[in-house]
Amino acid sequence: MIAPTLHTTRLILRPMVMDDFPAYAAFMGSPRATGMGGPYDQRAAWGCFCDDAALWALVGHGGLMIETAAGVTVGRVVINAGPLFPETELGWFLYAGHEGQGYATEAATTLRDWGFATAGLATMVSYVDPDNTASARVAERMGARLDADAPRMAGDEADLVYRHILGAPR
Amino acid sequence: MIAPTLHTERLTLRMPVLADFEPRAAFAASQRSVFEGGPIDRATAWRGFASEVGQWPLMGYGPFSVEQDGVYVGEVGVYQPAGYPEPELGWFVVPEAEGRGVATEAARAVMVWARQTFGWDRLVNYIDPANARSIALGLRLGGVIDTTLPGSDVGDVVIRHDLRGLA
Repeated sequence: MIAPTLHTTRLILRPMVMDDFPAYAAFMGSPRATGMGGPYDQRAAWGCFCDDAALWALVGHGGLMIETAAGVTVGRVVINAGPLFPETELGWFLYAGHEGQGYATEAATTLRDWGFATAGLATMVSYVDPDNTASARVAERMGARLDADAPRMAGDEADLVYRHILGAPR
Repeated sequence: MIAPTLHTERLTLRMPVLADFEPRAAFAASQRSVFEGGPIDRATAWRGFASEVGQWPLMGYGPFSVEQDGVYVGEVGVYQPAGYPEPELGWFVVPEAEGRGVATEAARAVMVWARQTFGWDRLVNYIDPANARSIALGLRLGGVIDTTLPGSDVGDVVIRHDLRGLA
């Protein structure tokens, strides 16, 4: 399927375009990407970028860029799947300078609810590096609960796994 | 956009689907992928597959999965990951379908499609110099080795295909 455009109170979640790549690659090459297995070089960042875009065609959900009403792209949110993940993942990141305003929570909640309502998903997980307290707080604010028994990705056994469940109290 | 469906005498070229990853992963894990930097593990193979499929919504061109009689036989398409000097014509055929001219027939269709859709004057192949079969295929398709063009990796053989006579 083709990626949709979703609207939140303050944000637009929109399909990725080529012009997003420089900022995306800069983020993936920065220490901010450490919790996601980075930093990544340009070629690896391209793989991640296209993977986010390709998922829509391959599995019916994928990555969207997060844009403010002023037209500023502030990050990316994704429902991820494929052989790299034990199960369907809800992920997010914000570019430097856009933290602390609730953008990640707002964007991820909207995409998660789209996943439940439109993509037919019953559960998703968010893998959070134990040092990434900002993302842990986002998951908690969304009402996700730690799942100690969820399978981890190889090499990321220490990850916190937050589970989102369709119909769970917020 | 996603890939259009193209038909040749024997083949159907279509948008890749998730199931097409399995033969790619098998190829990547085998010694046959040595000219593509392999053998490659499953996670890396996924990144490669997904990043190529992702070209469709981002760039409007990318890989076509190739079917013969309803069976997946490989992939032919236009590849341009970050750092490539220009769009590349590339191919991959599953072992069971080798030697039937599948890549040749599909590649011709992709070249015509690229000319009609984008008006491009040329496509190139970037091929490991030890990959004699792919070099032979590039030449059989009417390409010429061009030592003046940069490759995707140092030492690549670059084959240039003139599209101007097509369509």
